[in-house]
Amino acid sequence: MVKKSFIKEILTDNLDMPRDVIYNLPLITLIGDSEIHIENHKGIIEYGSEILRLNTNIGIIKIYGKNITIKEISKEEIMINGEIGGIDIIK
Amino acid sequence: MSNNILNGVVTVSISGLNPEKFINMAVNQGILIWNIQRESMTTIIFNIKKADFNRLKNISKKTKCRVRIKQKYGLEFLIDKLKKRKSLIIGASIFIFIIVFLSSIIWSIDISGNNKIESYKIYEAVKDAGLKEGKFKKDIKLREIEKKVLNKFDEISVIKISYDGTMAKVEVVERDIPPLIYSNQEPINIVASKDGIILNVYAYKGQKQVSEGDFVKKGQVLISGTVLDNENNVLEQVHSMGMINAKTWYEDISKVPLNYKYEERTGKVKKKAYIMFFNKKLCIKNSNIDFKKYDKIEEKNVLNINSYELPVYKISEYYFEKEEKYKILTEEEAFKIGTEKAEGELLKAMPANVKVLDKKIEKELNGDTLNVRILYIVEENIGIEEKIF
Repeated sequence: MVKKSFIKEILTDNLDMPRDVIYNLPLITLIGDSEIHIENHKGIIEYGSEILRLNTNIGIIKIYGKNITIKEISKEEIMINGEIGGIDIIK
Repeated sequence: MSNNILNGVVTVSISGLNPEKFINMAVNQGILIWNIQRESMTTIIFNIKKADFNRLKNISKKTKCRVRIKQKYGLEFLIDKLKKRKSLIIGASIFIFIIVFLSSIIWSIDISGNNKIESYKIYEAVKDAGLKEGKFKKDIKLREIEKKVLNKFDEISVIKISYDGTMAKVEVVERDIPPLIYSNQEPINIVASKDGIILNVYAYKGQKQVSEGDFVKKGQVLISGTVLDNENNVLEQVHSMGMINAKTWYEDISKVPLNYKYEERTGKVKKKAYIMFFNKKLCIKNSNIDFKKYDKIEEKNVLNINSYELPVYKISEYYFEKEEKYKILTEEEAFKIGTEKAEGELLKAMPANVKVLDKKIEKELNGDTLNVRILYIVEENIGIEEKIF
């Protein structure tokens, strides 16, 4: 987990600002079991048709399943397709 | 994504020990990558824009990956290909130009809807108004032509000209013109159409003004439509009807010189030939015409290809040499020639429905010319109608 600061704490807890923006955390959106949308990633560590490991601020996100393909990748976003079996966060 | 298809998309396969690193580096440099698929342990396939492809070289050097192009598609690649095939583009554009050019010309005129008026009359009228084969569509003002043609024919009530491809369709609706009503009510006189001696008069209606044996002059009233009583009071005005047969005459005099001059072709012919192309004459065959007198006969032929008339004419001119010849005629021969000539003239002048009563031929020698006079005395109807005002 990233370091907590007092100001950020106030912003998120009391002013209801989105946590992912303030802490620069990855935003993971899972649509059914076929599509994952991750914002604020920090690059691919490993990619294969059954496993995908992504570097993020909170550690490594490991996605496993079958026929995994990266639909689109840019500096901040990544879209993953395939039959997703599970997501692990490895710290 | 569709935008990328327009710009050009490259499907690239990279093989190396750490293709993930390659992708990370590319992404960090701002290259958009999509449809990433793992093919094997060492190779990954993905799509990038055509514009980003050159930036991959640098990355491949750093990550020691081999880049291979698997597929290229999109409009930009098509354009690149076409740029190499310039003659194809030129040919295609000439082809399109010719198609557009030829289809902007009228090649045929179709006339329909006319029952009473002959098609060729409408065709001529339309042609005079400006709609012609071989003209450009944009030069033709259809509405004006319609107006002109409509004014020309009373029998046409509606005319519509439209284009069907390269064919101009002229559709005509005819109108029924009411027949002229022949009125036998209006007062009419019957007058003489020429001088003559009356043979018989039959008046069916109206008052007879002449009787048998009278000599009448042209324009004289024969049957009057104004009926008078004994004291010359007008009783009524009627539409007079009747038949007036009169003796009239036709005369012709022909002069025949005894020293008869005539021309004869000697049989020598010279020929000149030209080709005429848009009012410009081009000589094909020339020859020196040194005849004193000649007949010139010109032949004009239009060249066609499959019944299409070309604007090219072939003109051939024939020059026949002539000679003047004299012949001294006897009086008899001259008389024969004179009567033939005069009779021919008379037959042309006389109407067809006359009855020849008498024929007189006189001859008179005057110096060295013979005058032949022929007189026909005929019986014909000389009554014509004239309105009374």
